[in-house]
Amino acid sequence: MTTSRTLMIGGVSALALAAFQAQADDTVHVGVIGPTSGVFSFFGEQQRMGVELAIEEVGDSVAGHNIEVTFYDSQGDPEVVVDRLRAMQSRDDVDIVVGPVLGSTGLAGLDWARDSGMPTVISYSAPEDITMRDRAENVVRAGWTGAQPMFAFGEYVVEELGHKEIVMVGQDYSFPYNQIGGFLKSFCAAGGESVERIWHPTGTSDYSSILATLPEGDAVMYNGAGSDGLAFFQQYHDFGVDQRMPLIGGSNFFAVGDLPEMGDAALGGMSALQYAEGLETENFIAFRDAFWEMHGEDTMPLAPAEHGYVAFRMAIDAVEEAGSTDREPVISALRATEMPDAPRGPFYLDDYGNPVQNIYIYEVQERDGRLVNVPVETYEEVSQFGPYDPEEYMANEPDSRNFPPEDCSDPFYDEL
Amino acid sequence: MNLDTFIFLALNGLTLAALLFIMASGLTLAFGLMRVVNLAHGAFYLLGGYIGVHVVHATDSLVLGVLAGGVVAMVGGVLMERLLLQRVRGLDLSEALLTIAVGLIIADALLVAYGGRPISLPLPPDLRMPMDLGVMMYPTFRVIIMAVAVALGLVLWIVMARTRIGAAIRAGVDDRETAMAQGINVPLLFAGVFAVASFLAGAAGVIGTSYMSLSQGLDVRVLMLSLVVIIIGGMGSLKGAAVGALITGMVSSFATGYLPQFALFFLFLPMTLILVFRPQGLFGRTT
Repeated sequence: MTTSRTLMIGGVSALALAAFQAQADDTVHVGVIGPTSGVFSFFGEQQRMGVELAIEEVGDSVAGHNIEVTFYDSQGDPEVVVDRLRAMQSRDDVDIVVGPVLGSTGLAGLDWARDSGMPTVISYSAPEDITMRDRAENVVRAGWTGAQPMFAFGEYVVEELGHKEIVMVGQDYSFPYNQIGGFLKSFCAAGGESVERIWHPTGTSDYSSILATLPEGDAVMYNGAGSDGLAFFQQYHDFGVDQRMPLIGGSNFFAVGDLPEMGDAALGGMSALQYAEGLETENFIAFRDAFWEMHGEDTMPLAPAEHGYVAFRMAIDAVEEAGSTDREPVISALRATEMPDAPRGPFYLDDYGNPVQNIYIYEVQERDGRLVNVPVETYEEVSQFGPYDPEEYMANEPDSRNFPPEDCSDPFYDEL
Repeated sequence: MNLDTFIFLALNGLTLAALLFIMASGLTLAFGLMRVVNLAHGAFYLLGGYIGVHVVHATDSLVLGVLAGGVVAMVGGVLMERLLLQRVRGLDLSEALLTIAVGLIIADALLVAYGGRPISLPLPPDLRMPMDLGVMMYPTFRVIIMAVAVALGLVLWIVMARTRIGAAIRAGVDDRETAMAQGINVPLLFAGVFAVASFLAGAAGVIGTSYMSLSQGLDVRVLMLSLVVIIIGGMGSLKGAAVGALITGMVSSFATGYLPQFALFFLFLPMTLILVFRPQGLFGRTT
């Protein structure tokens, strides 16, 4: 009697559970978050357009689940990001998050994701500790870390361009610290001599006096972007400093849409990123043409668009691999991501959840009447740790205003 | 410090001072006359800048662009003064909040219309070319900015010192009630000064974009600098605006040249000292 009753209760709960799961498992709900309004809307809009293309390619369903996608606006504000993420979890039953896009919002998203356990694919946001010192099992990244492309660039600048003394002018916050940090490590290892760092507060619009006291070097690097970068670029040419020292850039300087405002003076400008819109691989051309067909040829798909596209595909591929939306299998599938056919080139995730990928050294050239970043050199399989051992790399303090040391003869570089 | 660098930094300081004077002269007169700090002044800079750059792109004429930027900002300023400010005249807090509100609305509307991307002003190449000043080569358009500011200063000075309107404005600044009792139409005068001030802010938006890129957030920074200038110089004083602009421009230039990380600290240092030791400003009068 007791046995049969237990059986019956068990059976009923199993049925109820099955019914509940069938209902919950009907759909896979992806929440995409990025700044689609406000000052940084360019980045969020690029991501949105990339995701829309991925949605069209993936189709309506995966592993027997209907795909449902909701876009959330982060307004570029970390607090808003956390609000939206909470709503995804408790109100909208989101299964996987794609985004956020910007640096500060990425860190806010990471903190929330660690507590909630939500499978999260961070797209363009680049603080290295998201997939390093503060990493979380359920958070992976489709994009990059600030130092990652610069490992390649530091080497290239010494070996191919022959610059050994660099003067860097940069925005005073963590992303540029990380960029020049990666640059310095490989620059010194390749035989460079020094990088003098000049930091200015973000939002500086007049660089004439920084240019007046600029030390001499083999080249100048502007380590920043946006309105500061555009103003620096203009004034650099106004004062004719370009006649004296060539200007190279941090990863975002030429890459995120300011080329039309810079004009022809940007021709020949060089930097490095894991993406370049002048790529001519089959996969890239297919991606670009499909993007243009959907969003019009006036909009060039730039890195944030491709990263959104890739992040969404990573999410859907993980559900397909897992065969369900259960968190555990989805997270392990996400962490095992390999994408041999990504538009930017093949990549796979390292043990810490960040892509190991091609880094392109690119040069600004004119193609069909518009300025594009054309790759001139490819460094394959660059990881977020560059050539270094992950555990040793993370044992170092994070890059800061004056770390790593600016002089390549510093003992720090002997031990590296 | 070698002499070339010194001259370079001094010229940079003068360029910034020139731009700040164009911004601050109108602001300080409007304040002196009506005790209204127009906190939407920065937004008019932004408005004039965006419209002006648009016009320059469309017509290839820099002069038209500067005028268009100025006129649009002037229309905005007059509308704000006639339709809104007049309703709360005399209520200091309401006036300040109202101008903040208008500034935010303008900036947000511009964000919707033009997006968050920075834009630059296409200048004819011969303006970008350096010109020989005897002591060093310096970009031509920067020299023009300085010349415009000096000319503006002269015109304003002549108007203020030599004309009936100038006398009326000075009377209004010194003692509003008595001036009104003498039959001077101070509200009308104020509307005129406000229009000129807004025009100058809009024109400055186009002029400034010739070397600083134009983007969201610049409105607040420009407003802040203008306020620093008129606090140093003394609110309501044209001479104060000129001297305040010179001090701010020079301090900013030399600090950015030698200690860029502390540029903001040095920028606000003179203002802080003035507020502590001479709250009415260098040329201001105690009320």
